[in-house]
Amino acid sequence: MGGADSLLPQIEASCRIPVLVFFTCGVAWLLFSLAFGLVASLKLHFPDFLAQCPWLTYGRVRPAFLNMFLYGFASQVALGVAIWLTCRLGRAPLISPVAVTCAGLFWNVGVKLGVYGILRGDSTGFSWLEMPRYAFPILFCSYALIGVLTLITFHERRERQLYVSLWYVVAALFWFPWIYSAGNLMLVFWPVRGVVQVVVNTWFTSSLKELWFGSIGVAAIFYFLPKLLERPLYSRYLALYSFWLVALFGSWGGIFIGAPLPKWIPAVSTMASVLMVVPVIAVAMNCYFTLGGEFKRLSQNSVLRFIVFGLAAYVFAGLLGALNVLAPVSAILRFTYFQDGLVILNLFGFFAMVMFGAIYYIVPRLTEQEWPSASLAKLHFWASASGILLCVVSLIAGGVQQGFALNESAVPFLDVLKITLPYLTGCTLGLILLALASAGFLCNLLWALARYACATCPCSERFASNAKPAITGVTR
Amino acid sequence: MNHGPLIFLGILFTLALSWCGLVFAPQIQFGRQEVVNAKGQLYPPNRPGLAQQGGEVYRANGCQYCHSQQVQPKGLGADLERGWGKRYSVAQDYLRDVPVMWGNLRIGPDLTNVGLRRPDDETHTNRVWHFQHLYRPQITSPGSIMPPYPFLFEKRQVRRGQPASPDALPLIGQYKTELSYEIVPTSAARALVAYLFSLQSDTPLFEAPIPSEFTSGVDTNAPGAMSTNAVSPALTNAVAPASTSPPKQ
Amino acid sequence: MSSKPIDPNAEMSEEREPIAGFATVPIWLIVLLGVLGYWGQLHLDKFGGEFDPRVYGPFASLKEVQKANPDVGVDMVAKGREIYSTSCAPCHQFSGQGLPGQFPPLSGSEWVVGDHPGRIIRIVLDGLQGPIEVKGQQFNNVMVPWRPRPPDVPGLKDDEIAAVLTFVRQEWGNKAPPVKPEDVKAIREKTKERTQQWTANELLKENE
Repeated sequence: MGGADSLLPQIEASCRIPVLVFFTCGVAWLLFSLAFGLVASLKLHFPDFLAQCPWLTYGRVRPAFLNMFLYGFASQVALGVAIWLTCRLGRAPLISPVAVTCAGLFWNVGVKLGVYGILRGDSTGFSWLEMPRYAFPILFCSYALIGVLTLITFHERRERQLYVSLWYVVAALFWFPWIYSAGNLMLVFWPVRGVVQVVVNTWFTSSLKELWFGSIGVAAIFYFLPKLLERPLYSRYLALYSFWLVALFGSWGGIFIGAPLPKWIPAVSTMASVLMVVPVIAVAMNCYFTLGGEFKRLSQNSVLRFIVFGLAAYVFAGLLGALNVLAPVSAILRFTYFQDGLVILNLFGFFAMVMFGAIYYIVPRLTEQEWPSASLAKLHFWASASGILLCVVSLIAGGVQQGFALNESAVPFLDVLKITLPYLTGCTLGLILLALASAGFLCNLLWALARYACATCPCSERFASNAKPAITGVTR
Repeated sequence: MNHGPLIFLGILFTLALSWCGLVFAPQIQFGRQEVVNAKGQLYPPNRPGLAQQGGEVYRANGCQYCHSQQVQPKGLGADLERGWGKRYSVAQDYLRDVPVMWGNLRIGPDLTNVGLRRPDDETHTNRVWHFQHLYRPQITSPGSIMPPYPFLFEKRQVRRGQPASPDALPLIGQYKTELSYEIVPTSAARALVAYLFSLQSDTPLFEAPIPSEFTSGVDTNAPGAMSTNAVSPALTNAVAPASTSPPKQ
Repeated sequence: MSSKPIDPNAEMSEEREPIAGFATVPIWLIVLLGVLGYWGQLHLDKFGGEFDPRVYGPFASLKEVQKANPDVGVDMVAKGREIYSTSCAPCHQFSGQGLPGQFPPLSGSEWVVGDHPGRIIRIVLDGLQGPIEVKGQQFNNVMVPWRPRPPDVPGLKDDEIAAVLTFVRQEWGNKAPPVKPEDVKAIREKTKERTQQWTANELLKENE
C-alpha cells in the first residue's frame, strides 16, 4: 500500500479547514436551534413567556428552530461528512479547499439571513422551507460551489472502486440541489396553484428527510460501523438493495389518507411509506450482521455508541413511519404530537446522533489530537440519548392520548389540551437535556480547535512545556 | 467496478420518477383548476383585500403551526362531529390560497369554517370575541395555551372628556387596563379577524357533496344552507291528477 | 490508549478502509418487497379512486360521486344546454319564453318543474299536439317527436333527453330535480308502441 497511503496526510490537510469550519458552525447552529426549540417548548407551558415581542412569538420561533437545525446544523455537518468521506474513500485531496470554505461561510450567511427573515415575519409558510426568498440564492449558490467541487474531487479519485458509502454520498450531492431548487422555485418563487403547493411541499420534506439526510446518515453508518469494528460490511448486495429502494420510494411519503386531495395521491404516498419498510430492514440486517454480536464494543467505543443509536433510531423511525400512514392509525394520530415525535426521532435520534459520531471520529484525525475531554464526550452521549428518548417517548405517548381524545367528539377541545400537557413537560425536559449536551459538545469542539490552533501556531514553542498530555479514550 | 455512469443514471431516474409522479402528475391533473360556479356563486369566493392581508398576518405569525385548516371526511377523525365543517375539504377550497396553510398539528381547533362558527354580524359579538382571544386567549378560553398577541394591539390614552374608541376592547377583571387607557386593535389585528371571518367552505361541490344528515332531509345544494329547511318551492308543486288544466304554480 | 497525538501514518488499520462483504440478499427480503408491492397494488385499486381528480375520501369511484350528487352537476346541465340550443331553442327560444300563441314557455312552466317528469319525457319522446294550457295561456301547436327510430331517425338518446330536461328544469329560475337517463329509458321502453303524439289530457293521466 505504497503511494496512495502516503497521501493520507495530504488528503487530511486538504479537507481540514473546510470540514472543521462546517463542523464548528454546524454545532454552533445546533446550540442556537436548540435554544429556540427550548423557548418554543417553554411557551407551550407558559404562553406569556416572551410574548410581548413579535419576533419571538411561538409561530415564528418554531420554524426558526427547525430551519436553524435543518440548514444551519444538519445540512452543514452533512456536507462536512460528505466531503471527508469523498476524500477518504476516493483517496483524493479536496479540490480547492479555500473555495469550499468560503462557500461554507456564505452558507452560514444565508442561514442567518433566512432565520432573520422568519423571525421578522417573512416566513414563506411552507414546511421546512420557511426561509424567505432572499435566502435561497445565497444558500443555493454556496451549495452549488461546494457540491461541484466535491463531485470534481470524486471524479478525480484515485481509488476507482466505489465503496457503498460513496454511492449514497454522490447520490445525495446530486439530489439535494434538485430537491432544494424545485421546492423553492415551485413554492416560493413561482407558486403552483392551490393544493399542488402542499403536494410539492410534502415531496420536498420527504425527499430532504430520506434522500438527503437519510443518504448521508446511512453513508456514515455504513462507513463507521465496519471501520470501527474492523470487520467488513456484511453485504454489498443488501446495501445496493437498500440504496435503490430508498431512492425509489423515499420521496413519495408523507401525504395522509383523508387529506384534501384526490384520493389517489394519499393512496400512492401510503403505499410508498409502507414499502420503505423493506430498505429499512435491509439496512438493519446489514448492520446487525456486521456487528456480529459484538455488543461489548459499544461500551468501549463512544463513536460506535452514537452510530448504533442512530441506526436503531433509523429503523424505528422507518417502522413507525410505515405504521403511521395506515388508515386506522393515521385517523387517530394524524394531527397529534406523534408526528413531531417521529420527526425528532428521525432528525435528532438518527441523523444528529450519527453526525455526532462522525464528528467525534473525524475531528481528531483532522486536528491530529485526541478530544480534550473524554468525560464531556461521554456526558454528551448519555445526555443526548436520554434527552432524545425522553422527547420522543413523551411526544409519542402524548400524541396517542391526544389522538384518541380528538376523535371523541364529546371531549371539549380544551380538555384535549389538558391531557397533553404532562407529555409536553417530558418533551421540554428532553430538550433541556439535549441543549445541555450540545453545549458541552460545542465546548469540547472549541477546546479541541483551540488546542489545535495553539499547536500549529508559530508561537507554540512557548506553550510546549505547559501542554498537558491529551486525555484519550474517546475514539479508540 | 466503475459503474459511475450507471449509478448516475439511476440516481437521476429515481428522483425523476418521484418528481413526475408526485409533483408533475398532480400539477397536470389539477394544477390548472379554475374557480367553479357552484349554484350561481363563484367558488372559492375572492377574499376582500383586508382578509387577504389577514392571510399574510396569519402566515407571518405562524398560526398554522397550531391550527389546521382541513376538514377530514367522516371515519377519519371526528371533524364533522365536532362541527368543524359540513363536508370534508377538497382541493377546490384552497384554490386562491398562497401559501396553502393546511397545518399538521391541532394544538388549537381546526379553522376551516371558523367564519361560519363565528360569523360576522351587526352585533359584532364575534368580532369582539376574536379581538379578545387574540389579545389574551385566557379571556375567552381559560386554560388555553395559545400565546397572547399584544403586539397586534395598541394601548392608547383616552383623553379626558373624549369618548372611548368604538373599537376599544372591553376588558374586565385582571385584564383591565389602567384608567384612561384603552386597548385598540391595529390594522394587522383587523385584517387577521377579517381573514378569520372569510374562512368558510361549506358550499357543496361535485366532489364534495354535503352528507344528507346536514341537509335536514331535503337534498338541496343551496349554498350556505346550514340547518334550515330550504325547500325549493318547485318541489312542492303537485299537479292534480284529474283535471284538465294544471293548477296555478 | 495512547497519550500522544495520533500519527496517521503509523497505524495500518487507519489505512484500511472498510470493504463490503458478499453475503447475498436473503430471499425473504425480496419476497417481502413483492408481497408489499402486491398489497400496495390492491390498496391502490381499492383506495386509489381510479386516479380520478374528482374522487375524494369516502368515495371509491367517480360513479359513486355522481350518485351522491343530488344535483348531477355542471356536466349534465352543460350538455343539456348544447342540445337545447340546437334542438329546442328554435321554437322555445333561448330565453325559454317561447312565442306567445305559438310555442309555450318553459321558464316557470308548471309542466316542466312539476313533480311528474314522466310527462315531459313523453312529450320529448313522442311529441305533443292539440290544446294545452301553460302558465294560464292556451297553446295549440305540434311538437315533433325525438324518439330515435333507427336507421333513419337519429332522434335524441336517453342521456341526451335526460340532459336537456335537466337543463330546462334548472334554467331561467326553474328549480327542479334533474332527470336521470334511467328514467328516460324506462319510459321509452314503456311507450315503445306509441306512434302518435301525446295530448295534454292523456299526459295528465300519467302520474310518474
